[in-house]
Amino acid sequence: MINLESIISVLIPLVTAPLLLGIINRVKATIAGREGQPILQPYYDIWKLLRKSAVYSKTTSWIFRLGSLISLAAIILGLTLIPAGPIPALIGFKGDIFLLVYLIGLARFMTVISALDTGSSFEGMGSSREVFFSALSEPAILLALLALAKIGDAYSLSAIFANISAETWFYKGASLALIIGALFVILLSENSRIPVDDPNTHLELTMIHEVMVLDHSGPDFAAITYGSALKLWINSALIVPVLLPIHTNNLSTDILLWICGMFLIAMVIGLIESSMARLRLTVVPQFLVGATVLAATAIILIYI
Amino acid sequence: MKQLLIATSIWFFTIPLLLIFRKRERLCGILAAAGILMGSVLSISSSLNIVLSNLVETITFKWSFIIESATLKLDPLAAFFIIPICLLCSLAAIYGIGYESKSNHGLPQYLSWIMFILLLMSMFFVIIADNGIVFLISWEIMAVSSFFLVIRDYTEQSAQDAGWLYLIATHLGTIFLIILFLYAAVQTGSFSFSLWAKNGLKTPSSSLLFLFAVIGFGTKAGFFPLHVWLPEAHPAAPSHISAVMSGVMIKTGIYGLMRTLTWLGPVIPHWWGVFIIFAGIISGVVGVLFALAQHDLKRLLAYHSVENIGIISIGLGVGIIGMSYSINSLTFLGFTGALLHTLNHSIFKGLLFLGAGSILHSTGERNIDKMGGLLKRMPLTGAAFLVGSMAIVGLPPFNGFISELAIFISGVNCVLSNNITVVLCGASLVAGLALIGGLAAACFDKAFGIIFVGEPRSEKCLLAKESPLPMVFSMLILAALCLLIGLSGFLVISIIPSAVQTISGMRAEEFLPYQNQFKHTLILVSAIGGAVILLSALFCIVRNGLLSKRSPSTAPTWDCGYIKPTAKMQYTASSFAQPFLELFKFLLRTKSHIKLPERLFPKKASFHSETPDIAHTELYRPLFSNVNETLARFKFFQHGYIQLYILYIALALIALIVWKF
Repeated sequence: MINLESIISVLIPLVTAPLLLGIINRVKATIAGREGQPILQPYYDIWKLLRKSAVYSKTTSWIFRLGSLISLAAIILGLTLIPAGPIPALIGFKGDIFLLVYLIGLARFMTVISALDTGSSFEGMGSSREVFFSALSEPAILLALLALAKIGDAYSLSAIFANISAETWFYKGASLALIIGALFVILLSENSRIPVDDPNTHLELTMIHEVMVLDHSGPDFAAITYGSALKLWINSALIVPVLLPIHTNNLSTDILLWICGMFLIAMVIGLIESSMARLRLTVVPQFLVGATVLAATAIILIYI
Repeated sequence: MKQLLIATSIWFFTIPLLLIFRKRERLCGILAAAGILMGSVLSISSSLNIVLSNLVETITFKWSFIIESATLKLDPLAAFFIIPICLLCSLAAIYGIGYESKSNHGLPQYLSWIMFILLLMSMFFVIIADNGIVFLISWEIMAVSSFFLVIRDYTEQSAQDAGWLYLIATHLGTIFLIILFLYAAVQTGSFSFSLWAKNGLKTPSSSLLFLFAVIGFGTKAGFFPLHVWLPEAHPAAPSHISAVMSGVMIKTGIYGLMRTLTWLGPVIPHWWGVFIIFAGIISGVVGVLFALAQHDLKRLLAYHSVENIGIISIGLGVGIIGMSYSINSLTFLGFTGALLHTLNHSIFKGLLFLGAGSILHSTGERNIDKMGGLLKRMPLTGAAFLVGSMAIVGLPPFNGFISELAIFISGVNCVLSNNITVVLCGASLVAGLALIGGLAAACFDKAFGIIFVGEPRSEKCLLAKESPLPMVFSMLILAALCLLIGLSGFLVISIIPSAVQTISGMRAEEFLPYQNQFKHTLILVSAIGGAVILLSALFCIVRNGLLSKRSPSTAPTWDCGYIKPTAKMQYTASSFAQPFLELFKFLLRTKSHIKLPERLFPKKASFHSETPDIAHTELYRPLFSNVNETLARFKFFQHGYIQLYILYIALALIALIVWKF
């Protein structure tokens, strides 16, 4: 169904998502004892990029010109399926979790072929790793969402999250914890955070996401930066309602709590990035398969 | 039904025309394509009528060969399969006019067109046969006509080997079907499918019959490990024939399995569904992994057929589970997913094979690692191939997504049920399908990304030109269909329910709620799919608006400071797939041949890798060499003296007479 009154569930992330990146950076800076960039820096970056011209590689074709834009469009439409705390998603239907995952897949597909469009071997390497890791995390995210569907006994994200309450933690706590673990691993991997990838570098050892977009510039790169903020938001928004399933009948309190939850996730990511090193590339598959195992165990635990 | 008979007569009478004009090759192609197209339009329109209004039409001929009469029957299930067969065959035939224009050293053109028509007619009769004998005869003609098409370039050793393997595989499969049909005929005293369906083949050994059907039909469909002929035969055949074989011919195996269910149902053991689901998951994962390891484009596509047959059988398995546990939602969604994916796969896989053919036609190259940058040189082929790639990966807003969605939702239904077996099946199928989807995305990122974008990796690709109009036309129509079905899924599924009813024997009102719910889902999916396109267009306008005043510049790709990058330095398909090959090396067993550069001024270095089929090397080769060794011991019977052979015959006859008394 389409709930037009929940248009706000799309507007909140559209406005707030880049803030998550700002928070992560601020947390990292604080822990490292630096002052760090302004918390609104991601907004300034996007604004700056939008005002710039672009340089296109001679090798590229229309794929490159369209890729980043289609990616952004797919991710924004993915947002329409995500409930914003107490507000149900703009669009919800039986099986929307699959559309969500496949829209993100569409975004990734376009990013990857745009990267290959440049003919650069660096970007080829990044693409190869990106599709490798995402293929391994796909079963994990769908199994985790499936476990949530079983616990929430519903078919669409809004209904699933509405059915999970603080009480659920008492009798399905173990499963929920495992699901959060799996979803968090996927969040780190899908958004190219440490320990899978290092968002601060785009060369040498950590060439995954950042290296794929090496040749983008100007408004196209703004679309990519904004898109990755939104994607981070989507992945976090799948965790927060499970982590903080608090329903106080007061709409504004609930929304506020939910947004605080999102910021909390960003802070946790910042903490992880400050305290961990990147995993060796050969260990990452084990990390991702681990997430799948967590999700599968969660489903089995529901029965015990 | 009358229209179908007219269609078959049109096809039949095209054959003498082709014989008359056999010297004029181009005319042959146009005649054949025109005949195929006319017949197909008639059949499709009449089949659509059948599936939409849930009718059954039969026609009976007198026949005095083994059986009294031969019945042809067009029920919704048959009509559903007629649609993709006729659609893809007519488009492949139009494509063939352009493709065949290049001279070849094998079969003369008029003969290969005749074989094409025979293949189409035999598939047609396989589907509408209502009688075991008619079915088996058509099945055999289908195998033989496609065999001749596989060995069209018979001067090449690879085509001969592929044809040989195909001929053996298809006949080994047929043996199981013959046993199945004979058993059923002995039980019921008739070869009539309708009678089998009406009375049901209620025997204690119905599970054995089911397994025979799975092996017999599975060999045609290409279940792992019965798929070994696919990766050999598809690359050898001309591309429009590969499209037909992979797009629709292997689907006759799926059709056969569905038809078998109507005889063995409606009360069926629980394990059948579980078995089919896991067979599907294994076929899917193994198929896509082997596809990732291939460098030959057509081989890669052939392995994707194994993968997609896997996806179809996952849906089929869910449907069977629904039947055996009487869970109507599963029956509906499972069979719907299987049928929809059958239709969709015929469209996008047909498109991809035609695309591969277009590349082959223009560059003469099948090795992905030698391609690159073809999108700029063959823009229409490239665009169509991109649509096909996105559809096969199952990305919205293309058609592959809606059929995978049906199977995914059936998986959620399984998990939300109360039966632990069904729940575990559901969880496995969702995880399996997700993995298949992720790997397929990787494979087509690789295929499209290495073939069409970047810089050309060989001279031939540098000079490539767009293919002739008939070829481009067929590809564009198929690409448009991928998008159209993806955006109008809620309309397209109205052709499904009557076929589901035929398979499961359910009444329409039993699954009406699920049908409406799925339709509702598809409306929203279409809305979001359309919105993706509109929003991208909007962003594009905004971006171009922003850039219009700033005059964007062009420069070489950023090379990290390296002075003279060349096309050779690009990532290749092999390097792209390397992490997968490394992780799954226990299964893929890729063999690499490396010659490292040596000393200060290295001369030549090379790297070459190949991934032979595991079923071929680990299962069939040892098996058949053992069989060979065992049988070689009886070679002393065979020594070339005719007198002794006659003695054997006489002894055998005497033994028979003695045995009879």
